[in-house]
Amino acid sequence: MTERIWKNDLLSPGHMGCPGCGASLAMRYVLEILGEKTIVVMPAGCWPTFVGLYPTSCLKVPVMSVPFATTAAAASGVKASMAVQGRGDVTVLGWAGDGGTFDIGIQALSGAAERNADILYVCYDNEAYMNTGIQRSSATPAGCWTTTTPMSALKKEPKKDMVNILAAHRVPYAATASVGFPDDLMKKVQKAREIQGTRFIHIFASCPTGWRYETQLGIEVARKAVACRVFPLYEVFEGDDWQINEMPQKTPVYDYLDMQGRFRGLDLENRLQFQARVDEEWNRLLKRSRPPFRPHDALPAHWQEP
Amino acid sequence: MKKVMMGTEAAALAAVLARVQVVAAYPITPQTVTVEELSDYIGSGRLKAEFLTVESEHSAMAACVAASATGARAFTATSSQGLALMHEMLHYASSGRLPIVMLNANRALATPWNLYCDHTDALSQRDTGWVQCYCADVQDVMDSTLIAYKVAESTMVPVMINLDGFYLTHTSEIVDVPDQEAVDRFLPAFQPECKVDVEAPSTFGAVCGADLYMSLKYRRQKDTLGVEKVWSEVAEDFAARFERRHPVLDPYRMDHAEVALVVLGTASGTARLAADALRLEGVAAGALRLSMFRPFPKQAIVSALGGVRHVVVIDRDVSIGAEGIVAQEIKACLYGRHHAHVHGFIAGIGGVDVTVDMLRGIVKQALGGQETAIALNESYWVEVLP
Amino acid sequence: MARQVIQSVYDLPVMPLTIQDMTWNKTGTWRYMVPVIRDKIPPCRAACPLGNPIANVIGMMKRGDMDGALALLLRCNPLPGITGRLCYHPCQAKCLRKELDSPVAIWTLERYAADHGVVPRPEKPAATGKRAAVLGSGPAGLTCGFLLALNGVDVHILEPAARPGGFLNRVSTDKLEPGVLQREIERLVDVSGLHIETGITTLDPAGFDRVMVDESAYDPNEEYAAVINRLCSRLSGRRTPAPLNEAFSGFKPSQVAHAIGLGLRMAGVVAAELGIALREQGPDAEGPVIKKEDIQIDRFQESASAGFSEKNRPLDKAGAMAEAVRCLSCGTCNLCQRCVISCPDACIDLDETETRIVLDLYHCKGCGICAYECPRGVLTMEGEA
Repeated sequence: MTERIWKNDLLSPGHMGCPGCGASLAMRYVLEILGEKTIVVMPAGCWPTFVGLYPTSCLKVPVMSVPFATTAAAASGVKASMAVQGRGDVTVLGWAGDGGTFDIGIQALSGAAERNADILYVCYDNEAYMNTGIQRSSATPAGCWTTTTPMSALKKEPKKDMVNILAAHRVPYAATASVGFPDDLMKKVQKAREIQGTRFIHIFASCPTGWRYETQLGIEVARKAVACRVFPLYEVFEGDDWQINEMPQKTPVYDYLDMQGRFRGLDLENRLQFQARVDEEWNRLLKRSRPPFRPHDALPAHWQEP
Repeated sequence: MKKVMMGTEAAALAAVLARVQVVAAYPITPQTVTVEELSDYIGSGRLKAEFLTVESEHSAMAACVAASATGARAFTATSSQGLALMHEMLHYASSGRLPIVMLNANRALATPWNLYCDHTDALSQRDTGWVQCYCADVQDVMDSTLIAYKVAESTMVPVMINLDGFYLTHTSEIVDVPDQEAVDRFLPAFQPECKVDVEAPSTFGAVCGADLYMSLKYRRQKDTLGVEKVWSEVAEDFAARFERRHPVLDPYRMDHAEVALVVLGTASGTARLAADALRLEGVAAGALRLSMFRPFPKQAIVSALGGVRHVVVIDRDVSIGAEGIVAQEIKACLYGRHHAHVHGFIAGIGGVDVTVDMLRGIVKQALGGQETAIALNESYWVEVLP
Repeated sequence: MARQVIQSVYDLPVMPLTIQDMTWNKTGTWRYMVPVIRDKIPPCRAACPLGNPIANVIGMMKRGDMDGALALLLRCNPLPGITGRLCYHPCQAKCLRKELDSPVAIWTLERYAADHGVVPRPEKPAATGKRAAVLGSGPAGLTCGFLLALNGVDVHILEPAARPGGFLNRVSTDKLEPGVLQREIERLVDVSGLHIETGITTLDPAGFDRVMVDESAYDPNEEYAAVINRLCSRLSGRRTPAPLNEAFSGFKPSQVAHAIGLGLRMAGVVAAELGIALREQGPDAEGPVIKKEDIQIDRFQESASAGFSEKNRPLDKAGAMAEAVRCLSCGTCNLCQRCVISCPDACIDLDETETRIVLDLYHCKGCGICAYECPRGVLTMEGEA
């Protein structure tokens, strides 16, 4: 007999997410590790619009839908409630999109991080306000088409470096992850689960609707992003120990850009700039990282079991 | 046990006696004493609770909403700007059917900055579905907070306890503090019939179609209107245990009154003195304090007015573009039910003191005497520059 | 699965909490393409003269199930220990693993399974009441008899020589070490229940429903070939001998698989004539044959073959499993569950028996990620009517 690959199947079918939704995949991977004793706090975005049609829901864990700006504050409130009721066994998962994390939710997240609130905050990043119709967020990369950065006014500003911002708060654990690398993602969730304090995981969640690629390429696009160093996989411990988990060979970003309609507006000069920016960010990451080693070696000493 | 304390101190102590479990609050004048006291009560272990020093009022209410939804008794406090910032969350708390109790120090809204007494902050939130009470004195603050938790938890409607900024928040009075065991008998632990819970997983607040949304709102309206009766019953129970009464309306010399001064909050004391003075001058005046503003106790008001022919409403607030909010609500309440003429006066906004002489002048003007206030769109503005 | 009808607002909890899941929602209506799970023919199987389900056999060896692997091999090849030593292994020439590093040592793995697997005697099939004789016990004859015996025919293999095996007894010992042939023949007798009689000089065709002749058992110059011919000539009337080797004329040991293949085909012809339905010989797979483009070769990591450049190098179980793991299982579902782990809608999973992948077509939105992620071409998207 074969071993079933999912141990915790906490998502049931029939939800209203787009076919090929990367954010839905991200949720399956995260809940696989966290299990049923998890309360999910999710703000406005893609997820709460498809999680259910009241009074029905596709998740088998409790979910608290909250207003847009409040994820980390509400998650802190849930954690406080669990603490005071003696339910330390319950994991509180903040689950917000890039809009709800990088933009409107950043104040609450900063507040929670400063208080080192004992929550696991996951940002599923599809690089725009997808639910409301593909409008730009500060997570949208430069040169990208969105409905508020149309072809006549493509986005100029680069993607906000959210993990760096969390690292500056000295949170115990911050990491990037991708739906193209589920094993790496799940190992990071497992690691985060065993740490107290504010933990932040930034998941690259591909979106066929907003990025304009054929639905079956959802995981491939995510793999390509890592392979072309557009979205490096790394972890930051205690805000100053940076470790890269995946060392791809240098691959031109054009393989990644050409997969997606949202980058069709880039002319040659902008494509070169895109590559230059990717190289610059990669080098910056290399400089601040420990010498890269094989992913997921033993945890730092003070997290190991006695 | 009797102690001297300010309104804000009484609110903090009431939260302690109510054994709140989660406090999430952000400082704002003139509420600050409440959060300072609570952080010490919790830090010293007097109150076993979690205190979240959140980074804004919007986050404070978000944390309270989340804590309450997951089964913890939650408390917060704010004022004016903070209350306005919480606006979205106020709707969320009441539509979520979450029994949160919040202290609001009534203070003027900017701009320009003004830290003093004004009811526009809370009254402009009257549509958010929260029960709203306005306290007359410090004892009222202590008692109403305790009654509020019992009412909130049995009806699943959040309650806002309003204190006049500085007049009540920072005035010290003698308070009879109930003891913990007596409060525990009056107010048992929070045991909601449903909550967001890993033992019974469910999604709170999913997308809802037109069919059910409106019906849920209908239920909420029914339950919130029913709070008037529940409050009265709980207040009776409180009176039986602690020998102090807190009805939804607080009438004074309303028997055979021809003129009623309708007020919210601490102006009530002034209004009683004014009623006494007017009676001496031959005017059959009475004072009616609305302790509860939401739900609006229509029938009780109509009954309390009896044969009154002139209702003089003192609004420490204004709905710009319309008129005084209390006056508006009184007019709507009397429509088709009572024949009295309603005179709306805007007075005491932004810290302007309401005095006995001012109120005597207002009543005389209403009864046809010399104009002391400036007329504007059916209401009269007292002590403004022309 | 139906959505609960709400009659009164009091059917719902006072807080806006959900009371049911979303499986009522038939999202299957959204799709215009549907995933199809279908095993296809890997190039090794296509190249094999026996149509050996190589990927399935190696799939069992990956899991350490050598007995299961051998049982599967025996369904179309009674002499895996022989082919695993003599066959010219056209399968390896077509193995797509060579696009990544080097081909899987299929031949050596076959030998390992034959040498170390243990197969329990299968359940006796229902007796058909038919009797058949095979003259000559070369690989073709043995195979034909084996397959018929497995399907309930009372088979007697009649061999003029003192030992069975035909030309296999002539193969040099450095290619086929002593004892192997005997072991293989003993096993095939044990598993199938056929009878072998050696030293035959006469033949009485009465009592046999069919008599077949293995003309490839011996080189025509051999004396035993003459014996067989002489015995054949005694057969007449409705017991016309059915020759086994219509087009075959080689006696090269490396072509033993072709001889076995002829035996399989003849068994099929004779079974049809006798009115017997043969049980399935191997797992189902449909064309077309898997090509390089159907495999996502970059999903696999390079690894060295376990050094099988020299045949007859002794191999242990760990080594065999390590080599088996290198098989890409082209076109053959090996329950890797990459599809299961890539579905955003939880519409594809192992079934309750945990032996195959099933789709939830009520909900499947047809996004195609599962088909794209299948590294071996088993899942494909097809248009829906």
